[in-house]
Amino acid sequence: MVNYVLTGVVLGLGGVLLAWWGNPPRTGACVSCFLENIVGALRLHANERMQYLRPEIPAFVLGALGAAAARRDLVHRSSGAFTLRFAVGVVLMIGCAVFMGCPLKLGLRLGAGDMTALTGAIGLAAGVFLGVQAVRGGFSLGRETTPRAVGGFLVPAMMAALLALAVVEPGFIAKSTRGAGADHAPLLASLAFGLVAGALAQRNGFCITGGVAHLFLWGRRLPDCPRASGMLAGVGAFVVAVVVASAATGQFSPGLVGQPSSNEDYGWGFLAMLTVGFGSILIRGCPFRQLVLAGSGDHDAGGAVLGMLAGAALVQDWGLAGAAAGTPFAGKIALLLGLAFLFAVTLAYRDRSA
Amino acid sequence: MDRLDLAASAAIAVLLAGVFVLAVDEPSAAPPDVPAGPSAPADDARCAAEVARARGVLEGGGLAAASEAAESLLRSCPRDGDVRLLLGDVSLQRDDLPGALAHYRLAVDLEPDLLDRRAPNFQGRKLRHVVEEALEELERRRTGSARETFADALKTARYLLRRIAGSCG
Repeated sequence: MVNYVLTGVVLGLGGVLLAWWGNPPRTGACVSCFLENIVGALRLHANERMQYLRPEIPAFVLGALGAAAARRDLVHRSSGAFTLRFAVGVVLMIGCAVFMGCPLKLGLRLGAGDMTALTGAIGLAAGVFLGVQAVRGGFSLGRETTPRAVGGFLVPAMMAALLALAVVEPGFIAKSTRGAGADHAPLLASLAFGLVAGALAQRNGFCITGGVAHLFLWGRRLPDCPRASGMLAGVGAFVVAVVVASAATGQFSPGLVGQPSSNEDYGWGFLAMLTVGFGSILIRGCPFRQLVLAGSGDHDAGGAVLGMLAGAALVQDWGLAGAAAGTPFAGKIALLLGLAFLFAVTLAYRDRSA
Repeated sequence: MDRLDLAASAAIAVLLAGVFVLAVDEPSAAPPDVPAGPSAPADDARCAAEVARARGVLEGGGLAAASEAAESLLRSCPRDGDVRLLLGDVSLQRDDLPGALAHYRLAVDLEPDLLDRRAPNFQGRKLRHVVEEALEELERRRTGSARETFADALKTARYLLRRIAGSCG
C-alpha cells in the first residue's frame, strides 16, 4: 500500500512542480502532450509551437528499465498482436488530443480545481467499465509467449537515443522558441522526476485506468486485495498530492472559467476520455503504463508506444487536437472512428468458448 | 451473438451514423472574418509603424481619429493582430464590449504571440485584466432581452480567458 501511495504522491507533486518550474500550465506531466512535442522536435509534424524533446518521456522508460533490471524483473513477453496494439496506441493519442491531455493530465487538471475536466473523469471511468465488460466477456489479444529478449530493448534504446538528442541538441532537432513547446522546466528536474516516477511505477504497476478497473473488477472484495486497494489508493494519493501542491504553488483555481487546456465541448471531452479508458483496458494500461511496461521489456507495450508516437504526429498534422475554441471537425470524426474501431476489436478478439 | 456482441455492434452502428451526420453537417473551414494567406514582411513593418502611430493618437485622447485610422488599417493590413488589438481598444473606449471582445479574439487568433510572455508584443496581462472586467460587466448587463445579445460576447470572453490561461498546444 505504501509503495502505491508513494508513487501517487511523487507523480502528483512532480507534475505540479514541473509546471511551476516552466512546463505548460497544468501540464507538468502529460504523456500525450509530451509525445506531440517529441515528434515535433523530430520534425514529424509542422507545428512550430509544439517542438521540444521532452526528457520526461524517455526518463519514464529508462527509470522503469533501471528498476526492472535492478530487481531482475525484465519481463519479455508478447501476445503476437503488435500491429493491433500499435493501432490502439494511435487511437489513445486521438482520444487524449481531443481531451487535451492524458489520464495523468486529467488528474493534474482536476486536482488544480479545473471542473471542466469532470466530464473527462466520468468518461474515463465509463470507458474503463466498457473495457472491463469486454475482458469479462472473453476479450483477449492472444496467449503470451516469451520472445527473444533483444526485441524488448528496442524502445528503451530508442528512448535513450532521444534523451541523448535532448541533451546534445543537434541542429536537426527542432526546438520551439514560442508557444507551448518553448515552455519547459529545467532539464535536470524533468529528468529526475521522470526517472524516479518510472522506477516507482515499474515496482508497483501504477496505472490510473488500472486503479479504476480494479474497482470494477474486484468490487466488494476490494478491502481484501492489497493490489486493488493499493492501486486505488495510489490514484487517490496522486489527486490529493496535486491539490496540496497546486494550492501551495498558487496554481489552484477552482471553477469552470479560464482554465488552461480546456474548452466547453464537455460532451466531446467525455467521449474522448471514454475512448482512452476503453482502449487502455484493452491493451492493459494507460499511456503512462505503456511507457513503463515498454521500459520493463514488454514487447506488446513497445508496439503501443510506437503507435502513440505515430498518433501524436497524426493529431498535429491532421489538426485533430482539441483547443480553446473547441473540438475540430476532423478530431470529432477521428474520435468516433477510433471508438468504433475499439468496439470492432472487442468483437474480433473475444474468446466465446470461455 | 450474445448481448456483448449485440451491444458492440449497435455501438459501431451508432458511431458510424454519427460520422455520417457530422460529415453532412460539416461547417465552413475558416471563420469569415479572418482573411486567408500570410502577409509579406515589408507589409508587417509598415503595418506595425502605422498601428503604433494610431495607438499614440488613441492614447492622446483622439478617439475618433484613432478609430478612423484603425478602420483604414483593417483594410490595408487585414491579417495583422495588432490592428485587431487596436480596434478592440477603440471599441472598449466606446463602451462597445461585444465589439471589443470580438476584435481581441481575432487579434489572438491572428497573432498567438500576443499571449506569449517571451514575445516582444506580449499583451497577456493587459488582456486578462480587460477581459475579466468585461466579463463582469457583461454579466451585470445580461438581463431580459439583452440576454441573447450578450451570449456570444460572454462566450468570446470565456474563450479569451482560456487562451490567456494557456495550453499545452
